[in-house]
Amino acid sequence: MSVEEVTQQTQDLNIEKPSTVLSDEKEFQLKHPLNSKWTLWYTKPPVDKSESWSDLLRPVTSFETVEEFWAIHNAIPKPRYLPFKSDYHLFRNDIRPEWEDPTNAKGGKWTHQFWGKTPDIDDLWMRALLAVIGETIDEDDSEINGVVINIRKSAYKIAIWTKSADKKEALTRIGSKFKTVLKLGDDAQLEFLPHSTASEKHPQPSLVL
Amino acid sequence: EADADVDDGRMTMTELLQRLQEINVVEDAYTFEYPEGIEAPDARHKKETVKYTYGPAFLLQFQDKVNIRPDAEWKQNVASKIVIPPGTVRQGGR
Repeated sequence: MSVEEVTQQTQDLNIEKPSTVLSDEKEFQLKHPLNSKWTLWYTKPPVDKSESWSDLLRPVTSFETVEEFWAIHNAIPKPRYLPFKSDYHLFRNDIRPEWEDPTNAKGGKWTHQFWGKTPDIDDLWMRALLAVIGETIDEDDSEINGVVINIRKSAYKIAIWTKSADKKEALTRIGSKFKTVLKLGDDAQLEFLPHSTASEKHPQPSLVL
Repeated sequence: EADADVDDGRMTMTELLQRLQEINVVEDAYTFEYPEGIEAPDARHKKETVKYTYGPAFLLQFQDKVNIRPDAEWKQNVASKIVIPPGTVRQGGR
């Protein structure tokens, strides 16, 4: 084999780099893992009074790669098409989207209500999802447990759930990033509610941004 | 019929999930060489303590590339859990 032939064969081998879905939609050979598994939950709106919370709240599916996230996100109804009194919840690993879950119990949530018409709600929800699964909203991976959208007649509500409720500095940094993610201006309020106040009738936020 | 389980040339959701179980991972997206035309992940999202981080601009590039057909099996096992009771359907927007 001549030097030229060997060089040519080496070049051919170099071309055969494994591809990702970004360059080969069908024959990709590599995937992009997320830092943890995430589970999508759905709350079905109640249609009669006999249905309990546990009948209504169900895990839909779990994923642990960027590829799966998009496949699922592209295939399920966007918030604009969900019925009133329904919710999507995206939570890390097997954390239940309830404040009674041991991982949530000492935590709280940054929450904002979008009153009136919110034509870009699907985009805002997607931005919140990307911030959470890409792990770009937190500084170390210890704080974010999940993200929730509530579909109500009066307002959409988007909240990010944290593991703790007393780390004021860390929570404030998360809150101000979350404000940017939700495209909230200076006049819009983001409130932090510790889950310990969840059973109060008019819980007061412990932090406001 | 939008609901028909017809092969339209796209990979199905069931096939995607199978494929993902078989293939390897991009260990470090920040050093991986993506072909021209693809925006590499922004290094400012890199973290010492978290192995896999991805900025939103990088993630958004996947939205149209992951072009998957939700097949009947997946719809029955997964999508059907997102129950929209009759009479509560909205046409988008409030």
